[in-house]
Amino acid sequence: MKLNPFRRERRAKVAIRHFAYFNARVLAMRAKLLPKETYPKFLQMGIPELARSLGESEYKVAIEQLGPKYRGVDLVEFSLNRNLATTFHGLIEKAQGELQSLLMDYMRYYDLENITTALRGKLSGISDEDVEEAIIPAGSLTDAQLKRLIEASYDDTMEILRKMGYDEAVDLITDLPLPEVEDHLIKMYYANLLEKTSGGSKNMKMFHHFISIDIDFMNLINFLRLKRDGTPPTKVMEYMMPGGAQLPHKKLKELAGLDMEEILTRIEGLAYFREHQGALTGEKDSLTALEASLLKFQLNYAVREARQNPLSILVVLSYILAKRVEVANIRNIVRGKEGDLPTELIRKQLVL
Amino acid sequence: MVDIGVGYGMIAIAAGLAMGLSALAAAIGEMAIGSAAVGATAEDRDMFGKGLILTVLPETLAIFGLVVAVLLWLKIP
Repeated sequence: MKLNPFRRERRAKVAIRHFAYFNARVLAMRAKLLPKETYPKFLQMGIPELARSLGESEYKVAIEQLGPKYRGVDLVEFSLNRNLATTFHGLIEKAQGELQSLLMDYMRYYDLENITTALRGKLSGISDEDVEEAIIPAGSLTDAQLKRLIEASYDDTMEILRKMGYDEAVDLITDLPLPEVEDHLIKMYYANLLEKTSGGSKNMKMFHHFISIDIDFMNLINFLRLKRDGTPPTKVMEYMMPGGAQLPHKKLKELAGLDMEEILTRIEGLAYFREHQGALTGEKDSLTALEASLLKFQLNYAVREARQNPLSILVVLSYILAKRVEVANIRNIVRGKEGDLPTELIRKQLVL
Repeated sequence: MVDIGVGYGMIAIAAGLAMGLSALAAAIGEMAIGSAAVGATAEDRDMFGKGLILTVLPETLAIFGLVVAVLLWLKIP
């Protein structure tokens, strides 16, 4: 029988007492995220010092495990990946019933990312070892499966993709270049998530809503990048993902014909930015700063919604987003330092 | 057997209900708070004291119930 992870299944409802227990654990984990004041300190540090400092935080275990094998930027990068994977696996283990299966579906994002990383490695002739280092084992694939994926030939990788329910994507891969295939995979991932969670319990609806917001922000970032590059409106729309909460396809199509300033003014009218008029137009000259502030708004919005629904799935989803942002911030600092970027430029990339 | 009449019987039932229902309400409250307290303590041991205090807060409901039940009970000769 073919394994289809996206089939609709009956999921056990989650008791309120489990949400109380699980969300309290998540909130305690959230309290351990790095405070904002840490980042300016990190910006002043060298990479070895930063790695040492991370070794005294929640990244301690990962840094200690990888310390003997790696140094400098590699040590930090791989520790971030490992910590992210351990944290997300921990969340799935602690959850029960419907909550657990929704989180597992959400984490399949990393499966796709790992598969495309492996494919990219194979196509560009990068060694298995280097590919293994770029893998983030936070999805549903086990370490053994990931190892098999990395070592697999191109055809075997296609077979793994088919088994995961991405038949359509495998057929595309033979016709399209890899970046477009990646784009299709992500679109399929989100479309499947949306389809699977339409209707159903209150938490499924909240999950659905969260995914739509995720799509909105992803579309916004891609939209602004494409507009900045002067891509024609019809081409811009090809890259947009359907299913956004406040920016449906029709609205994006309207925006695609406008100039940058007008677009930002219109976007600021959305509920996400309502209390912060001028926050986006103020950053219009720098796409990096604009993207960082968009992510900040997404995070703030998710946290606000989670606070309004303390016994719901939104609490863990907002934590996952916050954790991703933290890892991305540290990664940006380390990569920036490795590339000798000016501190001010690195600071602009940070979501604070 | 002493006949205390229907009125006093009703008072006795009311006292029982006051105690029983308030204890049930306290238990429902403690269910969620207790789970959350255990969760928080699992992540951070320092949360134990705070968790314990918050968990017993709904117990005040049961105490109110007890007081009402005792006041009713005293009406019975």
